Formats: sequence, structure tokens, C-alpha cells
Amino acid sequence: MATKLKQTTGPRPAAKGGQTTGGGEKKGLLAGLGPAALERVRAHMNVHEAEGRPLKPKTAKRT
Amino acid sequence: MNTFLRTKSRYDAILPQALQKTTERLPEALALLGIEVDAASLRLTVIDASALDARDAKWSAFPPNDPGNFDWRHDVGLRRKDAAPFHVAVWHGETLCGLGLGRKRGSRVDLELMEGSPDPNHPLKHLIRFCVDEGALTFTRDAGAKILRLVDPLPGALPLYEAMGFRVVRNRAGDLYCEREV
Repeated sequence: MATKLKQTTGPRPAAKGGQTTGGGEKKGLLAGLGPAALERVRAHMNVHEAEGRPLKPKTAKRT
Repeated sequence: MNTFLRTKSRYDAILPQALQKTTERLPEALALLGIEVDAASLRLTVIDASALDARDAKWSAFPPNDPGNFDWRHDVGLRRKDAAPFHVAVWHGETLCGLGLGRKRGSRVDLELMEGSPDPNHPLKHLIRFCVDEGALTFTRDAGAKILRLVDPLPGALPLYEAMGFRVVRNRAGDLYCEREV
């Protein structure tokens, strides 16, 4: 009967966060998009160019 | 040097490098959309005093964006105090065409603000969102984060973000954002 190996508490496999440097440079937002997806991007580019959430002043204190 | 300053120093070094890489990659990326830009004129930089001065001096000559017309000097000032801020100015030659602002929070980068020049004829019209998002994507990767989040996206831009691989999320509090793993 085969002996079941105990799991050791050795080093963790890969560090969390941090991109590996091997395998070449990753591409941008459009990399891997097919012609149909690129066409969808093109079709929707004409949109108002301002958005988001302005920051609140940090001076306000909770009472 | 304390931990906060060490962390801040690290990310303050990563940001301009990420923007330089994005600058080099953008003309090729835009070519996928059939858009040609003058690669020698297009550049992404951090938002420094010259960018804020250009925003105040040049953008005020046009009717303000609505929505938009954000208080960039205030908001950039606040974010610069963070350990890992993201801020980008999009230039065409000496013309400031757009701005973006956010920060890294844990394993995520939040892009909080984006605005193009209110000049309806600026040379990168309709490309600012793409330039800012590409810069944020590169910073997200280089900073070791896993997710890029666009906070409060314009509803009209959601189909564009979905086409670029973002998923649209509305949380329990009703906040709308787009997310993409990098």
C-alpha cells in the first residue's frame, strides 16, 4: 500500500501580486480582440470624454 | 525612511516608466483601430505643474465639459498624498489633450477621473479615454496589481468598455464600475 505523503509547509509557490518577468511583454487593451470586437470599439469611441467621481475633501470630520 | 515613504517612492518611480512604455505602445495599439497618430507628438506624462497650468490656462478658453470641468488641481493634490497614486496627462506636442487620475488600492487600481480637453478640435479627440485606460492598465501591471477598476463610468461608454473586455458591475450600494483583470 502506497504511503500517503504528508503535505509540508515549505515555501509558497508564487508570490502574490507582482507580474512575472518571463514570457515577454503583455499587450494592451485591444490585444487579442477579433475584427468584430475591434469594430464594436470603433463604433463606440465617439462618447463624451469626461467621467468619474471627483474626490471629496479630506478635511470633513465625522461628528 | 518610513514604510509609507518607501512605498510611495517605489510607486512614484514605477508610474513614469509605465507611462513611457504606454507612449511607445499606443501608436501600434491605435493602428489596430485604423487610427493613425503622430507618434512623435503623442506622449503620456505624470500630472505635474506644467500639466495643471496648461489645464487652467488653455481649457478655460472653451465652454466647460458637462459632465466634467473637474477640479484637477485639488484632486491631484489630494491623490499625490497617497502611497500609490496614478495620474496621467495626455499630450499632443505642447497641447494638453486629456487627464486621468486614480490610485492603487491593494491588488486593484482604481481609475477615478478622466477628462478630455473641452476644445472640440483638439488633436486627440475621442482617443483620450483609450490613452488614459492604456496608461492605467500598464501601471496596474507594473505596480503588481491584478485588477483595473473604472469608477463611475459614463453610462454611454459602457458598450465601449465591454468591447474592450471590461465587465460592468453594480454593487449593493448602487455604485457602478467596470473591472478588468490585467
